[in-house]
Parts: sequence; structure tokens; C-alpha cells
Amino acid sequence: MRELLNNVNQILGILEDFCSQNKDYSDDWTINTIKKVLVLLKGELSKGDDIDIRLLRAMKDIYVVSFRNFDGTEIHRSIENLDDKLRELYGYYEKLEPLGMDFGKGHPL
Amino acid sequence: MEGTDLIDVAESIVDGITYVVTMLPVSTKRGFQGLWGELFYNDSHRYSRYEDSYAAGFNIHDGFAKEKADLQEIPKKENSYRTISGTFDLVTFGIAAEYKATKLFGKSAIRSNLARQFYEKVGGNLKELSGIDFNKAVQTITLKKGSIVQQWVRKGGNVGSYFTYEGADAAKLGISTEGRVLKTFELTEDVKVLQSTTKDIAGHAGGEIQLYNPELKEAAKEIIK
Repeated sequence: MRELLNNVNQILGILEDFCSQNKDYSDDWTINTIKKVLVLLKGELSKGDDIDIRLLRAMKDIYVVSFRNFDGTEIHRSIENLDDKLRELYGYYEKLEPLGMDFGKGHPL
Repeated sequence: MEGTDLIDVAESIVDGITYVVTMLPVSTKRGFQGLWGELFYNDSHRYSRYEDSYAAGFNIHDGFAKEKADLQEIPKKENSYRTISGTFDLVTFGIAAEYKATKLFGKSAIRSNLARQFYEKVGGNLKELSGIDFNKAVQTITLKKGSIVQQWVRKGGNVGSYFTYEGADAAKLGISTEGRVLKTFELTEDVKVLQSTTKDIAGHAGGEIQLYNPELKEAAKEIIK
């Protein structure tokens, strides 16, 4: 869990750096979506709670957002790394479907 | 591919037509190799791969699997080939295989299998399959030299591996157009791609056609307008 938390913090830092260098993205849905999911994930990891299944599914969403929008960047590489860790830790993660249009319509997302 | 006047046709009809058109010359020349697999999708490299028979649950020595569990029991045999002697056999076999495979797996599983095989073949990242809507058609096609494709390229970034056709709705591609510029490319050679539909992601509707092959960018020459 500690390692996951470190990964999440690292990605949030990378996103901040990216936005400060690319003003076009400061209010962009892609960055905002990734941040939103990671902040919620950070909250659950900090509390030591089990990760909500919807949050894991949302990770699937932001994985797709990251490779579609940030392929070849540090953002995508770090999310890829986090995705790998989740696959290692949660055997069922691989089979989960992204939230898709259900994103933002439930709790915590 | 330039025309975008599309009509709704049942995929099985398209599959059947493709099957007959592609397999008749093959069966005439060197026998009908292998089984169903993805041969409907016009990928000649797969005709001789007996593993494809498992995708359809058919083995020439054992016939069709009756249920999914049987697939584990069908032994792999290197010489799972047969020669189809006539058009009747060809068509009836094709229809039966299509029907059986659909019953066993459902269309989405067959499409997923096709996509996975394509990604493996071209060295793609299998995790990116999660961006494909398997409720919509998935097929391998060859984009001919001279075809026009487009991509929203990040400013200062490199051309990626996913393209689309002219006139595609960017909002349905799962990307943000902020910090990107739409570029148009002409292909300098024929390229085989996986054509699929983008999936709904993070509250944003998909539904647009995407064309994937990591090598596509090598054959794509930008058209400066």
C-alpha cells in the first residue's frame, strides 16, 4: 500500500509539472479526470482502506485516457507503472471494465 | 476507405461475403487450410495457424466443441488441415463455423480475440485493448497506398499509432483537442490495420472509428494544406 501511495503521489507531482509547463492543459478534462481519480485513490490508500471497486474501474478509465492523450510522456509511463502494480496486487483488476459513461454517476465516483 | 456513406449491414453477411470471396481462390490453389479462426477477416497469415481452430472451437479431427469447457480437451494437432472440394462445402462450413463460434463465445469475445491477436502480432500493448468497444465491429483491413488518414497530434509531440478517417468527430475519439493539432496524412504504401470503435471512457462517449498499427505512422506522409 505504501508503494502504491508513493506512486500516486509521484504521478500527481508529474501532472502538476506538466500543467505548469503546458498552460493549454490547466483546465483540460483529461488532466482533471486523472487528478480526480488519483486524489480519491490517495485518500483511500492513506486511510488504509480497501480500494473501492468503482475506483479501481475508474483507474481503467484513466489508463485509457493516458495512453490516448499522453502516449510517450512521463504521465503515461507513470500511470502504466501504477496500472501494473494494481494488476499485481489485485488479481481481479485485469478483468474489470472501465466505468465509461457511468463515470461520475456513483460513489465515490 | 475514402467514402463514408455507410449503411447498416449485418456483420454476419459481410463476414460471409468476405469468407467466400477470400477463401474460394485459396481453396482452389492450395486447399482450404485451417479452420475458422479469424479467416473471415481477411488475414492470410492466419489461414495456416491451427491454433485459430480453438478460437472457433473447431478441430478437424474432433469437430465442433459442444461447449466452452470442451475447448480444453481438444488436443492440438499440427496437421489440422483439410481441402474443401467445392463451393457448397465451403459456404456451409463457413456458415456453420460462424454460427457455432458466435453461440460459444458471442460476438464481443470473438472480436476481442481478433484484436488481441492483431496487437500481439504487431507488438502492441495488450492493455490498450481496453479502449476498444467490442460491442461494435472489429476487423483487420488493408489501407491502400494513397489512402487519407488523420490524427490529432500533440503540439511538439510525435505522431502516435492511432489514426482515424477524415471527418471523424474528435469528441468521440477519447482525446482532448487542447494542445493538439489535426494533421492529415497520405499513405505511401499499403498497411494492414485493426479498425475498431472507441469505447466510452471517463464519462465521454466513444463511437468513432480508430485505425491501429504501430507501423502506420511510418507509411503516413503528412499533407501540408
